[in-house]
Amino acid sequence: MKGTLGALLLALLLLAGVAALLAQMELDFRLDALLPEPATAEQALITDRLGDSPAARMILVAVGGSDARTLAHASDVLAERLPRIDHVARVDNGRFDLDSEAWGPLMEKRLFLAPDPARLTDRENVVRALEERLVELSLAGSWVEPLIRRDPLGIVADATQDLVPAAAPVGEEGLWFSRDGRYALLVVDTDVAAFDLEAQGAIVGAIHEAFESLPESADLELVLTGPPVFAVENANRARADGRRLSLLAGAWILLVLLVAWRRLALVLAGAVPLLGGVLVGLVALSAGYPAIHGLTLAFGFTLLGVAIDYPVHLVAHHEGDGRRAARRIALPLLLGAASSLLAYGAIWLSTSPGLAQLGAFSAVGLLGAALITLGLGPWLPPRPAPGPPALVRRLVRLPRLPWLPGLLLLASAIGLAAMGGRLWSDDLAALSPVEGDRLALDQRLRSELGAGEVRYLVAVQDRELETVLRRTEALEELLAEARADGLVGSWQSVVRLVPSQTAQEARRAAWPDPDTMAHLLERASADVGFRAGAFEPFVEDLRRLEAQPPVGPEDWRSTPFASLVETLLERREEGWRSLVVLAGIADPEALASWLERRQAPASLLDLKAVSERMVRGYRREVLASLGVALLLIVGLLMMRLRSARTCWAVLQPPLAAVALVALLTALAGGISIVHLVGLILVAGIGLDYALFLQRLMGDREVAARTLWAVALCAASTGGVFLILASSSIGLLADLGATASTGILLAATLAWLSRKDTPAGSGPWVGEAGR
Amino acid sequence: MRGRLLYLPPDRLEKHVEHPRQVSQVIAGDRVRVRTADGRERSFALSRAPELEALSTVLLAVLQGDPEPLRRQFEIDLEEGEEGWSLRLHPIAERLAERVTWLRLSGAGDSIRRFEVLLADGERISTELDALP
Repeated sequence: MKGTLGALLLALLLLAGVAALLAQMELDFRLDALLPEPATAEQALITDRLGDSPAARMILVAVGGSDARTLAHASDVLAERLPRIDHVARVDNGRFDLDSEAWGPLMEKRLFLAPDPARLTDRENVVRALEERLVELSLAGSWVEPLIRRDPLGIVADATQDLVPAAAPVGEEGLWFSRDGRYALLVVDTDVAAFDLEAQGAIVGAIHEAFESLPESADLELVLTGPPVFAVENANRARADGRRLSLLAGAWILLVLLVAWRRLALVLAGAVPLLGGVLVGLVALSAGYPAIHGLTLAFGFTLLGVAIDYPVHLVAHHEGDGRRAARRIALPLLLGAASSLLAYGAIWLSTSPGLAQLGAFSAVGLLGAALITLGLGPWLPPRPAPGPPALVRRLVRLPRLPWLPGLLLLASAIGLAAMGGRLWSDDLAALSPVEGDRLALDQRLRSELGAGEVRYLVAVQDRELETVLRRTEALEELLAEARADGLVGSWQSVVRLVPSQTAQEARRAAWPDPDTMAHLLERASADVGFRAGAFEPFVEDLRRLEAQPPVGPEDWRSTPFASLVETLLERREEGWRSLVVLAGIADPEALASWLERRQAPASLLDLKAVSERMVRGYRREVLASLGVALLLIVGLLMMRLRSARTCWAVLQPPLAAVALVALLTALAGGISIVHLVGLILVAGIGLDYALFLQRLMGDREVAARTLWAVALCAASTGGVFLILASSSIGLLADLGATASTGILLAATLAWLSRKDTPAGSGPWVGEAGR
Repeated sequence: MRGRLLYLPPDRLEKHVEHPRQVSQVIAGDRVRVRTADGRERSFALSRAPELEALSTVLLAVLQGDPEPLRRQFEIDLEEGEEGWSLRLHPIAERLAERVTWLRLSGAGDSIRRFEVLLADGERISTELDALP
């Protein structure tokens, strides 16, 4: 009874420590936690987009469920109401408003933005422009008169036309609709990072509220996508899942151990190494990293679930003297823990912040749990733990199949080799915690809008802003030729809003002097039918042009074009980067080689290809460190076991389990980094099982106890990962499925190839070896 | 300027200007959309342009054969002569009266021949209608 109380107190103390640490921890729910550090400037384009970039701050709102007219009305009402939400910078539903506030800043800067003043002011063009204005005036009414008087050449209208997303489908109602016409689309730009969950959660909630306040909302359907929405959903799901899964997993372990040990004190004692491991792991994390990734923690807890194996071994061999039990299991346990440490150490070295944290947490936690387990021996209550049931004793006597793991390993290796390039999943999306179909919908809508969905682009980079802008202008000229050749449909670039200083000065010089312009307009007015002096405001602006400063990127701040300029022109540590986003490319290779032949200032990037290269590089990095870890593990085993044969016997079952599960995963769609983490887990656990079943088989009694422990481990850990496989977060479910299959397989294989036990009683190999 | 005026029941008016530039205008609900020949489309709230609002109210009322909206929003003088008839409408609402002095619709028998708007600043917009050839 005293033992139970002490164990209970200790377990509660540790639990309180874990809870206290977790409470003060700052959790970060960035979606790019598992992504690698970008190795090249191109890769940075991808990680930036998932991290904090204007594109990543954008929410896409789709309203469906009714006829076009109702949807258009809902879209208009939302476009009017959503900008009132805090942190919403801009809302666009495709309505091209003549009365939009967008006109002000454009009007202000228009003389610098018109690409070719000389052509615009050529007599024929002036007459044509005035004719257009006349029609506009008659159709739009007298309120546009001041606009027309200031901008008779229609420069502002031309400029805005170029700025509308290229591919935006304008529906019957003059609004953005999805191509199938089912959804009216709105784009909401927020000014907070996607992973600022509190602010984004409030925005998402307010959008839902605004939608529900529409009188017709009951019949309508609202779909929100975009990184901020995903981040919020993901965090909510992670929290709910975390609670549900950890309760289920805890209950399962408790059930297994209570049924096996039938004593609360032992179960509580078993919890001590687990909680202690979690505690030291968390301490290591908070000491080593400023912010902990929520995803890492979710993964890490499950990996640490393995630590429950250690006390299971200890208790299984507890025949009345805890110290002796600890000594007996020390060698296989420490060898197994050291091997896991090496594997997680390899992950720790990863450049992906989430993965590195995962490695750190698991390595430190496992080592802590192993040491605490061994130290726990002397404190175990003297009453022996219940021995293995009769069924387990019978299992020890069943025939062995020592050749089976080797055969399976060989077969799986051949299968894996035959898979070739289809072995791996290069899809970056597989590393995102967002559901595949949600991501697909988001991408479809974005590509239809031409907003934020970017696959082909050209990035121009330099230390100097002016150089970047001039090169971008040179590129635009080339693209105009390419368009004439049908190689590209359209593009968006920042130089329409921020031309280079050189171009702006050239334009300033190219405008006719005000008196000439006034004369030109007088003559054209007489032809078209405007009264004399109608365009004096324009001539006045022209008079002021000499003193006007040229346009810079900062001039668009707090205008409706702010996010566009920020997306297309970024200030970076090493200077500036301008992106030209291309659409309507039928043959990317043809365009790429065309641009190369014409010596374009930068080459065409296919972000999909870049991201696939990135995943491949990432995997190579992880595989290389794992390879080194494997060599170290083999070296360690050789050193301690001193026999290549034993070493091979120990390695076969985990390797066979890993190879077979890898083959199954590859067949089911490719191995991703997450699967790889699961496979490492299988290797570590499988190695533990094999070590125990090879080294701790001295006589029938010991063998039965060892097998009993391994069976309990497989049941508890395998069960926990099966529970994890039911997670609604795809990444965790993948990990759970991979690990649970592998663990059960590894346990079975390790048992089938266990070391032969002499029928009579003899010295324990484990102890005799020491 | 020259073009066509179309009425699409129940409440949609389209004006297609053909000369000097091809531009079409659609008034439907509370929005006006203007589309140029090269496919650019812009729109604005009908309330922005009271003269258009008045014009569409009057035209729709006449085309739908429902005088009720006219009576509510305008003081109506009807003159009938040998040449035909003429309706002169003075806006009642202050917002509209500030911009539009009167509208005049004239025709003969059951067809509208001419449509005039006199704006408060003295400008006069006149539209002559022929039946479709």
